[in-house]
Amino acid sequence: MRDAPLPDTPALGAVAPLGRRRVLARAGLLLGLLVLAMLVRATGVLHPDPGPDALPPLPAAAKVVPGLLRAGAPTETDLVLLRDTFAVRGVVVIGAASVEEQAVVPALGMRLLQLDVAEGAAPTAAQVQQLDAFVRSVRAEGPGVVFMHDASGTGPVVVAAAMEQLVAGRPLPEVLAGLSAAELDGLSAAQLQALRDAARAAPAAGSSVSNSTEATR
Amino acid sequence: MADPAYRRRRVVHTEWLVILAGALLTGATMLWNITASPDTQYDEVVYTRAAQQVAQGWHLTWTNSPMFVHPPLSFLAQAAWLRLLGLGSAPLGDAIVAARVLTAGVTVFAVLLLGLIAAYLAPVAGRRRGLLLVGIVVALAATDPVLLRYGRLALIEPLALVVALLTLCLAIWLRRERALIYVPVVGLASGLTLLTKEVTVFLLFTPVLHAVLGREWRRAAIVLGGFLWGLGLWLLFPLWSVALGLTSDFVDIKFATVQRLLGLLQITGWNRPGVSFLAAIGDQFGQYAASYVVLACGGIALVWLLTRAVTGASRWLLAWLLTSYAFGAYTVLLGTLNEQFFVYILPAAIVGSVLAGDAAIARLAAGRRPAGRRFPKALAGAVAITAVTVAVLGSSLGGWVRLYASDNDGVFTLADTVRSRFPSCAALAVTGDPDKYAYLLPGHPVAAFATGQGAQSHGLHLFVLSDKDVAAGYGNATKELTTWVRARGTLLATFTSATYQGLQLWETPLDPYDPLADVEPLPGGVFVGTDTARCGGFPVLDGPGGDFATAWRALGGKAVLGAPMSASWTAAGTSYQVFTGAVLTLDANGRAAALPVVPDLARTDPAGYRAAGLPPVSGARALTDPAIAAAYRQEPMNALLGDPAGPATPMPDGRVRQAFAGGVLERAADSDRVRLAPIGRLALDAGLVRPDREAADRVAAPPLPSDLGPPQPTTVQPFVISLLAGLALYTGLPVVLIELARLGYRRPDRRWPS
Repeated sequence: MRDAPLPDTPALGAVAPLGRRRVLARAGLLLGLLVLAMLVRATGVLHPDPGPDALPPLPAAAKVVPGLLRAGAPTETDLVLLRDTFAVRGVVVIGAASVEEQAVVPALGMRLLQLDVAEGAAPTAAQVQQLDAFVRSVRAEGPGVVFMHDASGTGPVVVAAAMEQLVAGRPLPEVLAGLSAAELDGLSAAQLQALRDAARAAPAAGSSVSNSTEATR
Repeated sequence: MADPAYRRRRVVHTEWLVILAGALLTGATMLWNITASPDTQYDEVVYTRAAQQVAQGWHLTWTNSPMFVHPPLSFLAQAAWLRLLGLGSAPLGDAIVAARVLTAGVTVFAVLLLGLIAAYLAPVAGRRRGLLLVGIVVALAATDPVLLRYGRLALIEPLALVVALLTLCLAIWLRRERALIYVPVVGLASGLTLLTKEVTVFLLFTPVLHAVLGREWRRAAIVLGGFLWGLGLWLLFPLWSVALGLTSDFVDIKFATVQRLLGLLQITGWNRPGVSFLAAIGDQFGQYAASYVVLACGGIALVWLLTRAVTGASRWLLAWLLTSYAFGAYTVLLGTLNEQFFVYILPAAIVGSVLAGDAAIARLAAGRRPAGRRFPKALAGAVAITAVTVAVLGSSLGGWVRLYASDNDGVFTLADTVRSRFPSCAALAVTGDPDKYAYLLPGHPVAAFATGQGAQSHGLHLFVLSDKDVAAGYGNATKELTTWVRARGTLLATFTSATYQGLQLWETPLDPYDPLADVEPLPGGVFVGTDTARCGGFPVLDGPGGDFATAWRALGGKAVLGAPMSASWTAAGTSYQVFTGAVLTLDANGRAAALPVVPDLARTDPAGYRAAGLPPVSGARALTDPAIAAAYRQEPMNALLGDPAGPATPMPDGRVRQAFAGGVLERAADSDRVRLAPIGRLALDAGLVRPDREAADRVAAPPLPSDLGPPQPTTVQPFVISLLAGLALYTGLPVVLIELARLGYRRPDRRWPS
């Protein structure tokens, strides 16, 4: 049997080699594009780090004092996000916590505090102290954040947050200036009065969260 | 010498034989056991559901919003197929299998088209070598693990791949045609490709790149014209959203799609935060090893062609590899890295690998030939390349046998099991995406929760677990959920699924005293579920019959009084509601008390009373147990229960119980938490209380929380009408233009002689 010679022309047709300079230029271009893409990936330009001041994607999210966030009611998925991305270790519910939240927060290894504050009302001095103690207690256990919410993020949680800021030593005008127009409009007369009362009492109470949170600034 | 006519016939026969063999091989690998493997997945379920909705009433949706994420063409094709088979309103499982037959059949055509493109790109091969190369390309494509994975599912990919390859085929075939022919034909094919899946756009740039690589600027303008002509047809898609009055929704969705493709938004795929691409590659290596080898060989082919002066077929191959690998590299490094995108990269990789392998053998054969030697290098090269090809084919076929010759239909089997073992109202909490189960199990509420406690708070006790879902971050479920369910629940069944690495059905027990389980808020009170299927329960409400919700809460709620065993009813001016631990009554003034049924129970059915582990109702009646005494003395418990009816007694089950007139207080031996022991069922069974029929009947559980928005118009009819008009325009206009051009040629010269 005669040997069938292997074909010596590519099926594609003849493909002559390019000159060295053109090969180097193409290789350089290809490599350059790859390196550029890897640099973009490594530097995270497409996904800038939100940084420590990032807020959770929840309605009316805001930072109260370092280590304390406030917003509207989270879903179960939000609670996982708060734990995993925002290092939330404690949750404070201003008003009634849903059964789901009461079940889920401990299941996710977070602590839960419920403060029974009605819509349009303000937390009592005892409740503010309770909140303050809770924040200190959570943060004493290790690095982490406390997340505080009510049903909408614009109800009594705004007043509770303002009171925490007063306790932290901020003057009332500065605290009120930090609220949005809608939040200011939403404050009831009783809530405004409670804030004034808290502002008067604040110097005496200003040793708690303020000390612990200022240290983390 | 053979007769030339006979030889021509033989050539034609051989080519048909190769096509037939390719079709048979691909048909076998794609269609064999397609009813039972691979396991279905979210996209397949919801896309088929959408196709059924179109087949039934022209509604392109599986939610209550129109499907804007992907263009409608593939859904219309699937709908027409289902309608043709009479499966437009068949059970979804049957429709999915039927839709798979369509997509697998389409994949067969895609693989044959790939062979045709390979033949185009091997113009120097000669007949036998050309057929051999085409055969290898077809065999590699027919057994490629990624193409098999997605070719056997009822997804968009097979349909998008076939129209994309057809467009490429037409572009190569018409590469020398004038604009009047090229633009309408390739443009129409490009438009249909874009209307099937937009991500194929990179493949449509291959002809443009081919012209640019050859510096054929005039040709580049023509092929770009073809692409733009196709883009014009795609505009029917946004036009549909305008017709529905949902333009801003369309823009939002498309903007998010572009963000996802560019990698600015990572919500699916292997580039999501927390998901490791390399780990995913490693996990899938056993399944996709052959595809990885082909992709690597295709990459080598690309690099090799970049070092060559390419013309003709080699320039087409380079252009195709460049567009495919550029898309692949961007997707891997920066974009949304969805596994199914490799379906669009592998065809170029396969053809590139085979033709580069052929070129490598040819190069070795063309090398120096020492006298008297039979090209040992060339032979060695040919043997090595053949060995790699055989290894890839062997690995692919081995994987095919492992994954597709055996059953891998856990989701379908699980759905059958749920249908046969549970009532149609039974609710499931699942890892991964809930929609695939929800549509396969119509009527069954299905939801995804992050934690077992979260699910149970809404009354869900049946769990479908897939560890792969949790590990890959599909759905909401956390590791805590699977651990918790397995620690507390009972494994009901396991289901074989290579896709999900096994599925399990678990049931967690119902605890009528768990205050954080089975409770849904209702206006004026709560609904409490009373079975593990979440099929029904009873409301506890403040209403005209009395404020039972308030009284129940004041007495400690579910943790103390237990779940309701009836709704409330009124008889002779007194309202009643039976709970696990007591029969609560409210008089006309709203005063709550427990019906003093305990002494009656002990008297009327002493054996049943004892069997229930209830304590004696005679002897000393002192409050000797401090925890029970403290609980009893607490308002309003003492007013509720009446006097002690017996002593505090340690019972054989380890609990301490003391009977009172209206209930039995109990605590665990090692706990101070006191509650009312279950007597409600005994009281009902003994006939001591008789709820009216309405109060005795359980009511359905409220619907689970849903994130569905308000209903939107979803009819796809405007799109179909505009598509038909567009097709008429796209086919009619070129014919008119060509005829006009012909007339122009024939027109007599009416210019005045100079």
